[in-house]
Amino acid sequence: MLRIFRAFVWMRFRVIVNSLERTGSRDTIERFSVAVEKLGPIMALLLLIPSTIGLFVLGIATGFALAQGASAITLMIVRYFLLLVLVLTLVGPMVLPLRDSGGLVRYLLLPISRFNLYLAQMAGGLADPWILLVIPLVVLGIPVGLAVGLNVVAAAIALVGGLAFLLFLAGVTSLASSVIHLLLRDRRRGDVVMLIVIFLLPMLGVLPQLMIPDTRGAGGRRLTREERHAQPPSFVAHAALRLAPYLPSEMYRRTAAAAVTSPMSAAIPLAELAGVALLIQSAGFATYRRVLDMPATLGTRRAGSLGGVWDRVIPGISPAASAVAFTQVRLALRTPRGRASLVTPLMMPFMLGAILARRGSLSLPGVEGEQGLIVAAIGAFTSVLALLPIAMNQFAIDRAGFTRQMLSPMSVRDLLVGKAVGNALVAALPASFVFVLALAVFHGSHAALWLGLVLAVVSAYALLAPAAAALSAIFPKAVDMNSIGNSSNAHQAAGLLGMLAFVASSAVPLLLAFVAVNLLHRIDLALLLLSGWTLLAVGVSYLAFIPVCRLVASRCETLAQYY
Amino acid sequence: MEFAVETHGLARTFGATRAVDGIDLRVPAGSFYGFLGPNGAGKSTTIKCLTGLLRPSSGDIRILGLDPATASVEIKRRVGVVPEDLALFDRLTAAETLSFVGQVHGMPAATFKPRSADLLSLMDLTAAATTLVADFSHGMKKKLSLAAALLPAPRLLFLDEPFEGIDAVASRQIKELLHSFVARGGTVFLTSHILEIVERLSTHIGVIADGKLVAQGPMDEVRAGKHFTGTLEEMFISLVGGERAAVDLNWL
Repeated sequence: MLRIFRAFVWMRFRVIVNSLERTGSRDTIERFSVAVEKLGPIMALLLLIPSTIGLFVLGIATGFALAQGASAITLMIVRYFLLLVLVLTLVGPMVLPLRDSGGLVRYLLLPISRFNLYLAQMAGGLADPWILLVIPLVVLGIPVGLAVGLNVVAAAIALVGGLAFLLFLAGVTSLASSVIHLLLRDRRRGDVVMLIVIFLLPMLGVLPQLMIPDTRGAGGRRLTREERHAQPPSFVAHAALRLAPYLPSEMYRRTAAAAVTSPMSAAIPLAELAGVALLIQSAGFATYRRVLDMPATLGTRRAGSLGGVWDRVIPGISPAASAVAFTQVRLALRTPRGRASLVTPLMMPFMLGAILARRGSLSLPGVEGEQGLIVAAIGAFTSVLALLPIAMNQFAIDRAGFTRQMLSPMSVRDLLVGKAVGNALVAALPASFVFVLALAVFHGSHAALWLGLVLAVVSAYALLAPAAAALSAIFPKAVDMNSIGNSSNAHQAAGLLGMLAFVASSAVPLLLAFVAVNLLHRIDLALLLLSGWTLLAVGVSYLAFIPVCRLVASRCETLAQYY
Repeated sequence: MEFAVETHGLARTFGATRAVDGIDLRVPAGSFYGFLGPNGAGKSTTIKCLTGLLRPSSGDIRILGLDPATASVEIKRRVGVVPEDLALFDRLTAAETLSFVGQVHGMPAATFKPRSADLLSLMDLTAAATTLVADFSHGMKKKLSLAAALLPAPRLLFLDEPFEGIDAVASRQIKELLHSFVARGGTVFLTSHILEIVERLSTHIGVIADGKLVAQGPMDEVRAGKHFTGTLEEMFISLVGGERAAVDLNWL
């Protein structure tokens, strides 16, 4: 048993070390790119050290305060931290790449029992940072604090409770990974499941808004603090309060608190927590056994055609560039990450609608009463923003298809124009939907402002496109587009610089509109200024693509090796 | 003699490693050229240099009489390639892959659609035409990559291990197809580890070992020059110095 665990630990260690030693670096730019990529994990590791110490100290302070019978504010912090860990444990497997899915077949060939394989897989879950951070808090800190406060029995109970909570978290991670593996095992079903997840995740962002009590009374008057406190909780908040006692994090809190006053009374929440942990572990093992019975993926995915739409040539660009553009759209729409880029802006009107329904209004300085324009503007710019993970690593989506493009009779300019147009189409789909919906629902009053919004987005994208191509070539990153989490994000440096480019390219047209509308009070002038700026931006973009083409041409060999 | 592929002192280095070490290839137009070599000899690196995926460190290349440094797009228009990694978009279907190839070659839909249907039928991929490439088996991917190489009716085909992972029925059809392609004046540059296939199909061979060309020419001339009467496999092992004593694993 110990030999097996030692082998697994060694294998995981070698995988991490080998990933840091990238072989086959082609040139200085790639070595720089790889070095920058490694900065993120190193920074995260460095941040983990003070966080661990901080949580250990927080645990000791909480345990000591509990032992002294004081009402500990720190216990509230611990409570919400554990709740956050619980949420991350549930969401984590959805946004992270599948755990162990590739190695399962290999493991099955080894002379290891299924139970030991399960233990090894579950132990791997303890390496998730949010679960790792629970250890210094509940397994070490609080029991040590209670012991320092001379309540050894309570310390022992809290330690058992902490271990049970940890067992529960590891079980949830393992169970969630196995369930996701089973759901995604059938490729077609997997696509549907990922689409549902993509729809649900942005909705989570609206939840806090729904839980905050309404701050406006009759006639839109802002309520005083006393009036707000006197209000009954919202439906969502009420449901959350009813559910709270059944959460394992709350069971742990009750165990630790009750252990101090009466060890016997701690037995009930501790038994509940241990029971839930064992139940989850049993379910996790049963599900893992089902995964092991059939670890391979099944089924084939088919794609429908849109008549002859894809066979047409987009006006104004070469047939080769048009083929690249349509391919970019198709590839983006067929990956969970690409679909997420499409869906997130589509959810904007509904999320803003929820805020509007609760707050009564949605206004920005200078365009009061233009709620439709605000919704359309947020939707349109969010569409460009949601595109960044794909645009800033635009060759990664092709994978081996990048080599196909290199073998095809087209120039680098055709490739880059095709990519830029394809990305623009991906962003245009949700942006147009939000724009039309906002226009239809709110009936905009100033046509010039609506037209100006279109120009502002076009000018921002025109400036962003060459920057995106250059950053994709300088900072390539092989990504897993089946994930909607970090593993499908662009290179950290490309992501950061791309975000800066987005802010800079969006700021100028918005500033021009602000000056014309707010300071000069000339809406017609806003349209004129934005028209001029858009022309200039398109010209700058055209010129910028000349050196970017040279850059990409010089990097093609490296990029083809990468994907 | 007109050469479809001609190189002078072609070399490619990776750091201190000289993967291709100054080779002079001569592939006559209209020939079936088998390019052989043991693993790591430099076959795929040579093909990558010839197809424009890698820049040579030194040396000259002429493909169909054109210089890749100045006429790469024109060369790509006349050349079909089945590369080592097959180079397919995994989230496109088989039909879409061929449609992409047709479009980038500037072919109208009226031309590439029937050609695609013919090729899919030939490769027994018609039923899988709307299936994503990601869900294809390795053999299906290889056949699709070959179909993509043939679609624009190239004058020269570079095939890197085209028969690996292909079933016997498809393999036979592909061999017949390549024969008729050469008979119509096309040139095939093929690498394969299956020496029986190379022996049966090739009119010319080139053998590379440790990045150096150790033999080249028409099959019969190479045999005669090396005074060899045995099989191609025996000649190949002799040329690359592969005669090794078998290791006795007495613990097995």
